[in-house]
Amino acid sequence: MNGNATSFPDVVSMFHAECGEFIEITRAGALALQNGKADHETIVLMQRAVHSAKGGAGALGYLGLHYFAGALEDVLDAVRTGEIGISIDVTTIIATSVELLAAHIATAADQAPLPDDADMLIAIRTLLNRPEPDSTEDEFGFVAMPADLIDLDEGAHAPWRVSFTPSAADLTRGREPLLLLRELAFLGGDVLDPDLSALPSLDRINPRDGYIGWTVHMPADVPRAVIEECLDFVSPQAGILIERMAPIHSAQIATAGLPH
Amino acid sequence: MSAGKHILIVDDSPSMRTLLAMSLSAQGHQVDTAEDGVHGLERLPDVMPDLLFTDINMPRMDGFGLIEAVRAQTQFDDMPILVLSTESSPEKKERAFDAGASGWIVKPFDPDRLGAAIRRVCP
Repeated sequence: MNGNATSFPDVVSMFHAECGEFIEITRAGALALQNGKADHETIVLMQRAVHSAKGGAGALGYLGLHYFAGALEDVLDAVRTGEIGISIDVTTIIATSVELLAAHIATAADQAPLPDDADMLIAIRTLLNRPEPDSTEDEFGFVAMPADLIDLDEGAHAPWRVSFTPSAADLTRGREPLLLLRELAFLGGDVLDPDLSALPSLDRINPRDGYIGWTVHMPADVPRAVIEECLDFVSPQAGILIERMAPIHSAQIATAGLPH
Repeated sequence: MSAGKHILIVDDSPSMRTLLAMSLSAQGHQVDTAEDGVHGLERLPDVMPDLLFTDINMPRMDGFGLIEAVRAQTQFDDMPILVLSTESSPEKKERAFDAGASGWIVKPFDPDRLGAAIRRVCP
């Protein structure tokens, strides 16, 4: 859930209790790192704690904590996978970040003002050789999605044509293409006749493979992102195609809207 | 449509389990929970869920291990498994799909999108 913490007081209490444990684990780990006594398991435990803090914070709307925990998690992940080695600089960044994480947790609990983590985020980006955030990102790293330019012109008045041919992978392990078609129809889609052109002769059919292609016409006002999300579980082998059909021109729309 | 499913949630964070359980119960589903992969695997034969939600990063047995262990049992071949994780790297998604996941949802989740995801895997 992505929401307001005040809506879930019991869950918030639970989360703050968990955060106490996360801080204990990460502080113990940072100390072990500084004393040269940290092993792989120490890093795994620290990363798991920070990961959980990030998840809970995101769900409850503590965005500063969510974002900073994500940055610290990236550092710990890089150490765990060997992408970066443990050095005095790395140890210092982790130890300082753990204290900033604790400060963010205190902020989430209304016990402290928002900490200034800007310098540390820059240090982390430098350490991990990550680019500066794009100017379209806000202070929490969320990107303002640019409007689909085609939606700003007359093409936006054209319905979508969506087609895909579920592969063998899309017919197993709880995946069922007909449920996806149902969901597209739920969004206003018109499921056309299936494309059977890839269907081989009976003696060459593998019953575990997928041969039937589907085309669905979706209303023009359904955002592309919604259609994409609907097909998010479909394998890349299915050849998903989402495209606008021939645009309806403004003049046609205006004419269509005139009373007879 | 897709209402009243029996769902097993596997997540090591009590607050996340509770939030997810609240959201799914509010949508009319029956919810059971487990605190990590080992516990989830133990609960599976008793719960016999219609759908399994799992986190990835968990102690004892992580989400990847859980998915592989579940798929190794033929009776759960077709049970939908949705990963619910703060992770979004393509490599981890691919690993989850290779292990047998049906879908992947990035936390934090939105109840409406969660409902739509369930409709896409549950009749």
